[in-house]
Amino acid sequence: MKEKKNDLLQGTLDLLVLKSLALGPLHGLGVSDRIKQITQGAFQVKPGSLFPALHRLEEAGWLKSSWGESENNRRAKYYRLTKAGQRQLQIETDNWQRISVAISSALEAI
Amino acid sequence: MPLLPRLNSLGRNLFNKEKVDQELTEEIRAHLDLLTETKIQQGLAPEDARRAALVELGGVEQVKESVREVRHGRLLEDLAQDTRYALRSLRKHPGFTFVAVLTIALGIGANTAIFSVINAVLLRPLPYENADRLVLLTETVSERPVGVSYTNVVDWRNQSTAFENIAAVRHRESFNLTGAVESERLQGRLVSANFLSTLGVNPIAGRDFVAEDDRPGATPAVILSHALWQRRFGGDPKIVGSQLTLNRESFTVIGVLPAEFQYGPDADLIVPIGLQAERYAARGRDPGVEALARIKPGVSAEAANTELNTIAARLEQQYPESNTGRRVRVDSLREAIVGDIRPTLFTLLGAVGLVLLIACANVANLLLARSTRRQKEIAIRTALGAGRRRILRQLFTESVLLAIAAGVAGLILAIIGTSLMSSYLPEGIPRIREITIDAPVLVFTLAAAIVTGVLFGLAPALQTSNPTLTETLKEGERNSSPGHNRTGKILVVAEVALTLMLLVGAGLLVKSFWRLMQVDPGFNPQNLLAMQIAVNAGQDEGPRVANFLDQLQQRVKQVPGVQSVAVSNGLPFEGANQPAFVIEGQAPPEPGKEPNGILYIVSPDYLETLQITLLRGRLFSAHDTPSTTPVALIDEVFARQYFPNQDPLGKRLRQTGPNQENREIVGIVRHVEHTNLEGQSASRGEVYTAFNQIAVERLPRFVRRVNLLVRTTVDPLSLAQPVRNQISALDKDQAVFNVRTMEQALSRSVAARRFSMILLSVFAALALILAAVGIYGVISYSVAQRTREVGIRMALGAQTTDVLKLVVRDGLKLVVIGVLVGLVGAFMLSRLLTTLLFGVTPTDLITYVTVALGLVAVALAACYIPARRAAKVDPLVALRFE
Repeated sequence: MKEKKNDLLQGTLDLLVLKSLALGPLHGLGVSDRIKQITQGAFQVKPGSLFPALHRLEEAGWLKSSWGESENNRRAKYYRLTKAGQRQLQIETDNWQRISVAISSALEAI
Repeated sequence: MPLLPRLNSLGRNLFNKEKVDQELTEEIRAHLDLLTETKIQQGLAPEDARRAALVELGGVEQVKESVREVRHGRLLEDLAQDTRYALRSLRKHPGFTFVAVLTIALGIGANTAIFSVINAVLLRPLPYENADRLVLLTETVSERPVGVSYTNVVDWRNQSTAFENIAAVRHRESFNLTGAVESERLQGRLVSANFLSTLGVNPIAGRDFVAEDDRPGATPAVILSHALWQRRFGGDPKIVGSQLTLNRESFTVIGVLPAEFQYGPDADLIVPIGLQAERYAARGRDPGVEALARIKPGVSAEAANTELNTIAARLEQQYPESNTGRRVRVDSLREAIVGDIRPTLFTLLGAVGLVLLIACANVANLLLARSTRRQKEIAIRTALGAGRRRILRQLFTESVLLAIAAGVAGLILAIIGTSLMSSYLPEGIPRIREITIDAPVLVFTLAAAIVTGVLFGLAPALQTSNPTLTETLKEGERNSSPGHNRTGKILVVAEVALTLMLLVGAGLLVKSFWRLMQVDPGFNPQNLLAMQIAVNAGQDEGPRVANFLDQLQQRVKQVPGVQSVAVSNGLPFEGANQPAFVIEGQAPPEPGKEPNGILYIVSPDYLETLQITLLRGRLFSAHDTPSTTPVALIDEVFARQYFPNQDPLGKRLRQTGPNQENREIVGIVRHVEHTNLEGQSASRGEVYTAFNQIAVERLPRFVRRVNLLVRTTVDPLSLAQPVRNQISALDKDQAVFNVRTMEQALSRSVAARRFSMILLSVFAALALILAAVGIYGVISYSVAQRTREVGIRMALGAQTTDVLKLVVRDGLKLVVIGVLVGLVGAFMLSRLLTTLLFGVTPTDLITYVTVALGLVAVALAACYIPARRAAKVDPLVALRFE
């Protein structure tokens, strides 16, 4: 059961991670905070899902990571979108909108 | 998706593993620190903040492992790691590894050996060009095959359009090679000129026959086999064009066959059949040939068959005397060669398949017992973040590794096994020399190994990877797994059932063979020496031949140890003519339904020498000569078939055809099995005529191949040489061949049956041993598990016999269930054996009961040993056991 839910949500999670990085580089905790913020607390991404997602997106070439200093001078790994990542964000955003329009109209139909 | 970064990360993950991992550790640690700091800012005490952060993270190692799992190259890396780990763990348990590998190796070895036979005999195409278009044409009369007449073959060839070629072949013609060196008897083959081109074979030296070679009066030409060329002529490159003296006639060597050429029985040379056309001129009464044909591309066998039968019907109109009722059947050459052996081979493949399953069950049981001991190790791995799938993969790697090792060992066993098989079984199985371990066999072995590995890895893997983590860790050493025992017991039941099925199969074959050995052949094969002599004589040498035969019998009779001597044309288990007869005074039969029988032309002492029982009338005597009334003997079958409700004695019959005289029937004798012991010729009557009554001038035609039979009072083979000496003293050029005892001839006729019986028995025995080991293993294991219980029982006053009973009853329950399941399975499967059985039904009650009881007895013994051990347990030790 758990596995299936993950698969279903994986696309959504990727989209949220990409979106959260659209404004600028963030570290892991920053990404999860940002996702919480932009979804008004609806999504709370646990590290067990967040880090695999970050690494997967990086290996796909959509993110790039580098070590940097956090707000309070701690070392942390920062992720930023690559060109390919920005394109991917656009593609996935379009996709999502198409789907959500379709699903909404499906649900509104009698 | 961009490819480059992927490859890049794959390379990094595989080759820079430590750095990647270290970075991950740092990243997670940094994350944890950041999280802690956030919690402190929210007002928690540093220590509480740390704990809250850890809880939120959900386990450092688990997070790391889940990241590792999404990385590229993960599978490869896992595989390498699993393999290393599995190798280490197998090395640490050499005893277990050895037993497991050996068990599976026996199973895979047996399968590979049988498959290599099937591959060579049934699967690989015949070694000729487009062999699927090669067919044999058989003439039939009322669906029963009769010898193919050469003149008919020539007519088919001239009139048909469906075939590229139709060739005539006559096997086993012997030739006496004489000349400068020692004379030698050679096996030859008479063929029409198109024989090699029909097969698509070219001589490696010289040329093929042409039509000019294949007619009476042509310059005699011969093509040598590669083996003869090497053996007799040392591979002389100038052999083509040289002269050989064969049967006192000079032949020109025109070619040499390729070394790998093979067709029918081995032959040293081939000679055009047209040279002897006069022997084959009489339609329907010639010695008969084999008709080999190649169908034109795009023509179906049915169409070819239809066309041939149209031609046959035309020939029937044209030659009613010889061709009435004659039809033609088209069989693929492959079917004709291997069709008979197919059920035997598939039965054996099924049997070794069962053996492999039993071996799998055994190893699965071993793995189960081992996995119980490994629960803790696996629990620790789970605690360190290994997922269920990851652990399953690890366990499967181990079993597949075991299976591959077993595959290699099995292959070696198979190579030994096939060489044993092919050296012990030269006859009976066609194409046996073509058996090799080639690519398809290797693929089969590899596939068998992998499937086996997955199969025997399945149960223990599923069992092991499902532990409740904390329970196992808490449980510590005191650990008994009821789950293991249930799976183990199911495996034992399955093993017993499969073994029983195999044993029933083997039992039925053994009983068939025993039945076959009980068959009375109608003569006494003990102390009977037989050999063949081909007397070469011209048409005008009748008196010389008569004198030779006479002298021969005289001289051989003088040899010490010889009781009586006979010569014959036609012999059981060897061959004879089967002509049609006309019975005087009976209405002429419908054409094609003439009385026919197996004809033996024999010297007066033949029936006494073979000890064939006289039922009525008299045997031949020295008083039957060309000048007295021609006489004949018939057997009981002939009497029943053609003289129903009347006395055959005194009646007269003759062979059909011109120049045949009426013979008076003077005696009725017992029927003799002619082709084999299985009653194939049970409905074929037999007729005996006397050698002594053949007119001297016609004698040379009857002695091209005569049998010399010697009844001895000592070991018959010990007289082979003395008898040969007598023959060469008479004529030093007279070659003798096919020397054997009649017991050997009989034994050869059951060789194929003996082959399948022995192999199936070996496999069944193997299964029985494996099953016994399996039962022993499971009962031992459960006894070990129950040491404590046994201790308590004994402390409470149970006696040794009570404990024995307890354990044995447990084992016996499994065995009985297995036997019942197996009996049902055997009952359903054994009908597949029907074609291989003789004198016993597939559901023979005695076999089933015997086998079941035997299996239960073996199983009891296997239970008894661990039961004894349990009963000897000292209660004090038992209670302290854990």
